[in-house]
Amino acid sequence: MSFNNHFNFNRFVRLFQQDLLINRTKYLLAILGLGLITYLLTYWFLSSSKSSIMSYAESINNLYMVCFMFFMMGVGVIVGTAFPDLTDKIKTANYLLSPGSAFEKFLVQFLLRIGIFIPIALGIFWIAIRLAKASLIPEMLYETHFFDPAVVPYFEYRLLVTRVDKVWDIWQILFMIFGFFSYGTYLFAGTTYFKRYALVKTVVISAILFFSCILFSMLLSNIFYTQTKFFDIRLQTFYVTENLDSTEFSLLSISLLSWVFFIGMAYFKLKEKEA
Amino acid sequence: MISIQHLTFQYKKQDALFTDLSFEQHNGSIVGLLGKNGAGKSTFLKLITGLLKPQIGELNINGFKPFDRLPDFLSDIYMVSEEFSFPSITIVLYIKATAPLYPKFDYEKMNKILQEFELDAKKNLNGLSHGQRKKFLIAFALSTNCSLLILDEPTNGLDIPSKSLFRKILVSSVSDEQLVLISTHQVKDIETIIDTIVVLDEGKMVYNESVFNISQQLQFKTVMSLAGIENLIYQEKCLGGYRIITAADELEETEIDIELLFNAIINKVTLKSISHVV
Repeated sequence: MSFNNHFNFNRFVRLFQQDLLINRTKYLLAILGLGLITYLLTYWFLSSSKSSIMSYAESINNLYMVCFMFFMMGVGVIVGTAFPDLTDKIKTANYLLSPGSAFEKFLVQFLLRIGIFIPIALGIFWIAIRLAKASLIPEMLYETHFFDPAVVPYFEYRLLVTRVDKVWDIWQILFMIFGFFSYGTYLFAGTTYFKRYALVKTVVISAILFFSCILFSMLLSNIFYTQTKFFDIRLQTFYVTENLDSTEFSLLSISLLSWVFFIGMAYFKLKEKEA
Repeated sequence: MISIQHLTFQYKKQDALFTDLSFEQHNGSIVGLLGKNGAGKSTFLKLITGLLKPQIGELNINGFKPFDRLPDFLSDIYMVSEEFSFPSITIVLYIKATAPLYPKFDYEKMNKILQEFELDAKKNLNGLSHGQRKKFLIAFALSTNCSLLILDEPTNGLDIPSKSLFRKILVSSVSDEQLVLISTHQVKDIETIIDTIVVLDEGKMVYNESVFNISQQLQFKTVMSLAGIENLIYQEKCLGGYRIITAADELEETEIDIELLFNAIINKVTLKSISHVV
């Protein structure tokens, strides 16, 4: 079977253009809305945390991290609503019959929801949170405390992975980056698997899986370590490398590799989709 | 071209809808696909377009296996579904976005049909009535110049002048390289444009005949009494007499009453002289 049946650049560009032409207003509003909401929420959050910022220098990093986590949830909503045509039987038929290969259709959505969107979203977050910080005004908090926004550092992505002036280990940074990416691809794959409420179902399943793992670990801990209190988890760990134990290595492996499975799953579910 | 050999299909947890169904149709004709509700017409169309995967059987549409849904296959078929939905954009933007996906798309033809259907290209698709959106979809389908056009209940939702206009536009737009498959309950709407009649019943193609052959072999009349009628094949009571089908004689050729013919087929009447009864 020729490569042209799976990917042809001109055809891909036409499919991509079709999506952009039809949904451009929607995409633009989503990006602007995300930026505005991020600005307002981070401004409100930073404003209401002035005293903690002044009393504890390190807290700004934590606050920025909280803002970032919430922002990534918003990004997750956009990623988790990929393949919008697959939510409806009529639209599904039209989508599956549009002239393009399954791979091209997959790639269009992947780029629009992850490949292109996430760098844009990270840029928006950077701008919005810096604007929010710039909007903070000096004020007297108590009689002796004065809040001076000038002492609050502007947001840098580096701050997310810095604690007490020390940058995280490489594996921790990789774990975070690929953790977000893998969870994004998981949400993305969910949209090809479920017809309706894919985002909600995918998130609920991930929560069930997470708590099942915790419960299972608790159960094993209680079986094999009789002194363990019921809610405690004890894991037999060993060092895989000099500063990476087996638990950390397992988590890092899941984070680094699971996206491959989810991307494959999304493609094959789309390819085998019926209407 | 459609070539189906020994097709078997069933939905999950249901009885088989088609068992060992075979069907062949070449380009250059407008085929009327008729059948009762639940006969499987829409499922049949979905199988042809590759929206469903058959359990058993060989399907060959324009040289492709439909369920592979290869781009070259998809760019040469167009299906007008009974139910449809559009994004909230103008007609002109929809054409600009979607037409490039069909290599044989004819923009002039599109404009001409839009004018004939009195559709304003600047209007938003979701601001149009159901009938207007259907007309737009038909116009788009015809302009793609795809080898296989599938129209599922195309006249549903069209008013009387539009139905007549639809017939006129369809006949003038379709070329000999194309095959048009029209699935409908409203046989009266398409009886003047189809050149082949196919009837699907109980999971089988029970009838597949060209209009020319039918008119050569059968006669359709309305008579006051059945007395003295020779070669009577089928009859139905109607206001003031009977609608009947008789074997054709060489003296006169009558217009085909598709509704009566369909009823005869569904009632399992043997249309003796028909050679292609499956």
